[in-house]
Amino acid sequence: MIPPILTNPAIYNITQTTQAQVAIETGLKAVGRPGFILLDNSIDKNTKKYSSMKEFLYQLTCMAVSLGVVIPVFKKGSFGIARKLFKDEAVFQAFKKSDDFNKFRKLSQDEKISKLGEINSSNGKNYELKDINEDLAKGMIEVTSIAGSILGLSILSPLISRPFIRPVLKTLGMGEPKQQTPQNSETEPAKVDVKA
Amino acid sequence: MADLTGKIGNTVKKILVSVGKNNKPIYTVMAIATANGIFKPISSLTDKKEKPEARKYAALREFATECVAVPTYWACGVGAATLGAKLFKDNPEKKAIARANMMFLGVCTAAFVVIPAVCSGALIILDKILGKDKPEKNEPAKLDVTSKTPEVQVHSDISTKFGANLYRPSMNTFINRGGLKI
Repeated sequence: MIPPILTNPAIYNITQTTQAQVAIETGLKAVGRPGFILLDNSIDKNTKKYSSMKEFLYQLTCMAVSLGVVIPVFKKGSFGIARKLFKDEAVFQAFKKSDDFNKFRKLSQDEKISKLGEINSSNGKNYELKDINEDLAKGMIEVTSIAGSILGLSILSPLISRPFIRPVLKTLGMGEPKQQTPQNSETEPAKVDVKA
Repeated sequence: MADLTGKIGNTVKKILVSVGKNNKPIYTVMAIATANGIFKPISSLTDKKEKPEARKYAALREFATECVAVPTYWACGVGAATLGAKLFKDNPEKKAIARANMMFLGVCTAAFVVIPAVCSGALIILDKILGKDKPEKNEPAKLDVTSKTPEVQVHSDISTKFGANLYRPSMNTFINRGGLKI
């Protein structure tokens, strides 16, 4: 009995998009990593709560920065860069924005031909469907999205989260856990028994 | 020079076409994990609010985490994809979809369970190597109340040592004393 999810084309389309991959992976990290911190028995309760909340907020910051700012900016800029790198490629001349190309990709074969006719009439060009290298254009969008994810998750998020997370944790009433000192620990020095 | 630029351009084009045909999830997650392994420790080391020792320790932990993450993503992704292909080996159309979907599920499992679990174990070993699991040396000494100390010998019967007449006044007690003599 093989679950139908394995051959589901909708899931296949999601798995092929960098933005979806980053969103799902970061979401799972935001749940899994704090969960494992909470399960760790070698640390005390306050440290567990503080660390898991810190990790959760960090992953949320990563997701917000990458998906909200960096990937969309990179995605929009991808065709601009590609037009300079590949001057002879019809796909980058026919479509000015990556969104226009993504809409075109989802069309059926006949719809694509008619859409290309519209583009030709407005541009004064004579592109055919075989001239449009869809894989190259999609690859350009995905590679720039990966570059954007790296910038967002690895470089910007640690810098942004540093001044943001501590005040949020304080607002939530979760100050940084203090190290246990002999005065407040369980192993408090025993009083000398003067009666003995 | 133009040849070299052309060669680089062709290689870039081939890579882009390959990614466009099949954007494998392991490309994204491994690229991010590698970048995290480089930039996150640098970020930790430049955090001026932390103590130098804490900074070094945090950077080492982050580097170790990503060292675990990169091969785990690869192993889980490729392993799951191979399994997916085996399940649908008789149906080439479904085989490609199953391969991609299983790779994605493998990567998700790695991010959600495998990497945090492996890291928990690996970081315990790292802590042991660095001696972080031991109590700090400058910790104040605790009063030992449980171990036995040598008992002090107390003579309950003093009279046996000093004789039976210890508190019995004798005439010698009053002779050779200064002061008024009667």
